[in-house]
Amino acid sequence: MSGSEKVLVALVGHPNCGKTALFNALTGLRQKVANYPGVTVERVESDLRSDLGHPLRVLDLPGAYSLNPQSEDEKITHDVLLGGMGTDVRPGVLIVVLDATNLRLHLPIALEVRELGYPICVALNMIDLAEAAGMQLNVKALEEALGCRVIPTSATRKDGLVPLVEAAAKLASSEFDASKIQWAPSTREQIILRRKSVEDILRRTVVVPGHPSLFTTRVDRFLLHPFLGPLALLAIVFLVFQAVFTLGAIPTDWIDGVISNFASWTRSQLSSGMLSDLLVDGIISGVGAVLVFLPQILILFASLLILEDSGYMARAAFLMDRIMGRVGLSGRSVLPLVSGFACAIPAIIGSRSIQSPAQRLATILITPVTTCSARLPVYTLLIAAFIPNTVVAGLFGLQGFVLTLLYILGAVSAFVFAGLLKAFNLTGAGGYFLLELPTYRLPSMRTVLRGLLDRARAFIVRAGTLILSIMVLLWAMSTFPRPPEGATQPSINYSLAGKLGNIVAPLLEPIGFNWKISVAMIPGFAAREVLVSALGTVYAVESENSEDTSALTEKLKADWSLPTALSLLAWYVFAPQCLATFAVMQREIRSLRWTLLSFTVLLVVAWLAAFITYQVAGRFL
Amino acid sequence: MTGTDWLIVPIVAVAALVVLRKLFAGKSKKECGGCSSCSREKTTAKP
Repeated sequence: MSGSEKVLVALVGHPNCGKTALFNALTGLRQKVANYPGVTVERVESDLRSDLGHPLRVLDLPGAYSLNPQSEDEKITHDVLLGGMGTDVRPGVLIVVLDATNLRLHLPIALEVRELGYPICVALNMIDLAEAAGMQLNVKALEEALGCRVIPTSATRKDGLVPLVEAAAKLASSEFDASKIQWAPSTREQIILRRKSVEDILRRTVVVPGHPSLFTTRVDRFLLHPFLGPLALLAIVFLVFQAVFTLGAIPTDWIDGVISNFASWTRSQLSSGMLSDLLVDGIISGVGAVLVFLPQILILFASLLILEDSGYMARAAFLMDRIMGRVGLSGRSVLPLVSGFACAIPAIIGSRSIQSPAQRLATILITPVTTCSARLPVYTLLIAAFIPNTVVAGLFGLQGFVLTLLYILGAVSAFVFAGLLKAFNLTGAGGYFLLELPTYRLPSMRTVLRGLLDRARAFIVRAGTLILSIMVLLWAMSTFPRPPEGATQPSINYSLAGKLGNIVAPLLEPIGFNWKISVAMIPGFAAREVLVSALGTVYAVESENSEDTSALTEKLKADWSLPTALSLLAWYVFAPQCLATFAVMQREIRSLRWTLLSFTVLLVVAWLAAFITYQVAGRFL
Repeated sequence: MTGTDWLIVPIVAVAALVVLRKLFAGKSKKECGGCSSCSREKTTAKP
């Protein structure tokens, strides 16, 4: 049976009820999950795992508080269920996913969906957490009240999947014509009636313990405190970046040593010539220069995954809401912006959960300034080379402190850009912000490790394909044409890359960049971390001594002044050096004018920031 | 060029093909845009 002939089973429910965790359990895929609302912002479908025994396709939908859409992601769910623009296939069965720990909030969507007439069953998800909290749920009574099968599930533990699939398969075999579904926005009376029904159902089906767990309340008293909460947030951010340097140093040095030894060994095994130069100077130096940062990137990701899965990220959004309101945004913008610390692309896509179109546009436009993980190799390379590894006040490392400052500079810049957009009447008032604060829970080791493995694999694959290929081309450009007979300068000066670098150099000279940085900067526009690889290759090719396998940091220290390094750091806070980000921005906002304006403004601001930094540092350092 | 140096020609050609393919082949429906930071390429997402 082909994919198109299989019945489509859609997962519907509130944000953060565990739909995507259930989708992953049912399909074996690894869609991103986290403990805050609005993680899924697009429809994703896949075949049911074959060992579950039924030829079904499963469709994961963005969470929706009702069928009346208030944001782009809710509109996707609305269109799939009710047939809107661009939807070709309608589901044959709906699984309504409810958070068993919070039925009062989640039941209304089940009642609203039931009224549509779709064949439905209910997954009473997070049943393990409900039971752990001492709740007693009468599943039989709930089935009678809702008029459909109700199956207790725990997506993270993969409990209840078989009966859930059996129930969905049974519904899939019944005759149903989705084209006859009718819908109109609920009237006030209908909403009130549903609320009453929910209270009635709860009375009959749920016994909540007399003393519910106070852990979340107690922790929130501190973490959401008007004064202590922001301090705790700052402390958490600071600790993460200290960890990036202190914990990352040992594996980074180890990988660096392995790559250096491998380069020396490769050189010793090959007779000296162009092939040896390509392998050592082009591939090993270039790809190795970026691979050494894998441990630090993984520490950053592990921290983000733990914060997301614990439920803290939603608190961070809550804490930031007041500040964001001053620049015309709301706490809703914080969640995509925070995910921008990993990568701007999912952050831009994630902004679909923002209801106001103007706030969504502003969030997308400021996202490229948030410090994505691709900047981390550049920052850590330059900090390791130019900032002394000393301990300040006997407490924290100076290198980690400078890294924290760079991240704060990125965040403050995003804030300033948002303020400017507000000043030009683009975003309007901050508006209200409603966010469901999830219960705290211990981060799932499986989720964190899977996330890390996926990202490590993606990073290595990228280093081994795109970055490797760019480095091979850069090596060729840095090697050919060969220097003429009797040439006195280093051979790279006669190469195509050398000539290109010298053409661009006058533009970058005022900001302290030499022609080698200019050469490395060109492929760096494909992706930020490529700059580090490109510097590795350019400096390896430039070195006339083939035995020189010293670390890139040592070569940079010998060749650059401190103002140049600081200027490059300032450039990287703003520079729009990731074309994929702007491609996705264009796809999401469908405005070439805004995309080009954003690219140009960031380029100009990057140049100005680097210029000011270089000139000021040149005077005082 | 001497000895095994001719091997750089196919290596550079393959590298050029990989970069050109990335630049001009367009994104498949399964990819979000090619960043190193998430595992979205494994999905069958339909934006």
